[in-house]
Amino acid sequence: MSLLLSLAMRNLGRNRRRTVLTALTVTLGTALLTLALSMLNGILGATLEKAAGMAGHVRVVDVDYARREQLMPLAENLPDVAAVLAAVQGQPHVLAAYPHIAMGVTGAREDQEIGERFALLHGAPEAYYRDVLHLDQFLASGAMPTADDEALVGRAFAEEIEAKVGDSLIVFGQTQDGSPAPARLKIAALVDLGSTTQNRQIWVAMSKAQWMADLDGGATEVLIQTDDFERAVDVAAGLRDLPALATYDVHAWDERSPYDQIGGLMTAIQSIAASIIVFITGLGVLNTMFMSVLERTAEIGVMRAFGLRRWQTVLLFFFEAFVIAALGGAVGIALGATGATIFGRVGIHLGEGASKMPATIPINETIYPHLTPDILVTGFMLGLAMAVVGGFLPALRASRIQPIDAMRQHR
Amino acid sequence: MICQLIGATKVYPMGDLTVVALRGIDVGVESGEFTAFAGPSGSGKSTALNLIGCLDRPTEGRVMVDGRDVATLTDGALGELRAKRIGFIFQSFNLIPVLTAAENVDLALRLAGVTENRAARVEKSLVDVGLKDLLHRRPAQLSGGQQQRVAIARALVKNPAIIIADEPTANLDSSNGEAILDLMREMNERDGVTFLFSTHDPMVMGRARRVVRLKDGAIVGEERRA
Repeated sequence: MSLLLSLAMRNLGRNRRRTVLTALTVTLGTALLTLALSMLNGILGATLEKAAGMAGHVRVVDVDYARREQLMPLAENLPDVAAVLAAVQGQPHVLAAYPHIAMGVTGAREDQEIGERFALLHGAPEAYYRDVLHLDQFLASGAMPTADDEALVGRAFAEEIEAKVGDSLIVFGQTQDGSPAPARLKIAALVDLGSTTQNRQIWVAMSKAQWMADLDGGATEVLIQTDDFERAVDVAAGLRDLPALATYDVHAWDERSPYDQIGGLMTAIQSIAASIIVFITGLGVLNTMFMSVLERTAEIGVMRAFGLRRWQTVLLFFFEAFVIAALGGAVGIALGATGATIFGRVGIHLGEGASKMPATIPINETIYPHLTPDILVTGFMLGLAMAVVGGFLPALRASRIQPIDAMRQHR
Repeated sequence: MICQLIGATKVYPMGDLTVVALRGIDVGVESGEFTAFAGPSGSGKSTALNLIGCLDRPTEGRVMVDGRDVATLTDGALGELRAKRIGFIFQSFNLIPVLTAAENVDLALRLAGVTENRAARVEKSLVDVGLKDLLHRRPAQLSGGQQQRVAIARALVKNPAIIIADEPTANLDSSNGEAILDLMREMNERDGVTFLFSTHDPMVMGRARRVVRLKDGAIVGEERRA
């Protein structure tokens, strides 16, 4: 084995230009892979965390509401929110719980006619807006509301009705029994969440939404924040055992549509991206390794005549590819990590296309690659995979060279 | 008898045609011989060497090496037989360019599975071929004659039953060629090393103690000298 390793190392030095070229191919592939995985991680990770926060890591709703939630049926509500909140507070991994009401409304500036301007109106405690949605960090103008009749308005909706901070806004919703529910709100601030769909929303005080929906003391759902959104399923399972929640629908965010499909989608996207890069880089390695095998046919034949076994021939070329991949991969990881770190700070602007995504899959127009130790390990391992992909066939070809080939070629 | 071809025929397919390289020849080599297979290009001398060196298998007939029928051996066993019992010298030297002279010789020992006393054996072999001061030079730093001496040392170092040399002087000038033949002959006479080589050079044939003449794949004559 040491003979093969020693030979492999020496062989790498015999055609330095080709070795460097092959290593650069792996470097480029690994760097690209690290950057791509970091970007995907940045996009998907941020999207998932944001989506999980918006949806509630764990949600408690009426069973019928869960069944018909596309219609946001206010009649299928939780009439005694206080009892639900009391039951979940203090449970393991539960950080906070917030009542929430969502309803579709039309709206206009006070001096305009009510028209076809639709928005999604939320009612929740101010702490939910600040601690979960972090709306205070997305204010385009104005300040967080201080009174019940003040509202935060998404910038896209505000632009549609040509409203600004300080203007009065009339919204029409419905009570839980279907009666019209108008309300006058003062615009305290405009919110810019980075996507047009998300910016077509209105956020009001819980008491105002309860008044509009005629849900005194009630809510359509209770959203529970946990200490780890990725382990919300376990928390939900524990909460389902509570007697106070026995008649309700209690599920984690990733057990509910559309989020239940996202984990698999993430893995699939990352796998596809990684496979494409490994395959293309592997082709580069394959090309140069094949050249190397063809040039050394006579030499391999001679060594085979002297007793080199087929598996030893495979190992010889495999070691060469492996060393190239390890060196190229290490440099590639360093480059990719540097790129991911820099872009992680300055961000990458995706364009307005990102803002057309539905509100349930919130993607920001500017994404920030997120590098993790897992990505570094994966990138390096896949760099080595490039060597396996690119080195295997040439090594196999080399192992099939017969000693007689050497005799014929050099006669 | 160290090795023997019995009714050996070798046919190569060439597209739709077939080329008969050997036509059922019978020939054997005894221990201590210094034998040349002689003949023009296409006479079958190299094919005969390849069969005896276990580098190829006959289409028909048998090849016996060290009393074993090569046809009964697996590829692995054949490799082991080559590694331990047969030394090769090639026309183009075929040293490994990334290894020094000593490492090239050592490679033959390592591939033969020799673990003991390698350094001393390598040095002795190189000294025997007159390269005492060039042990650590790479092939590119050696002349053609010196490279062929390294190749002889590489073939000798594992004490094989026979050394097969395919036109060993073809790529050397006449003085280097003669020197290499002198060296081989000296080893044969002094140490009893068995040599079997191919040639079409009359000067080389003149040095052989036994010449087997081939033409069109058949043996057409044989001479023995004292």
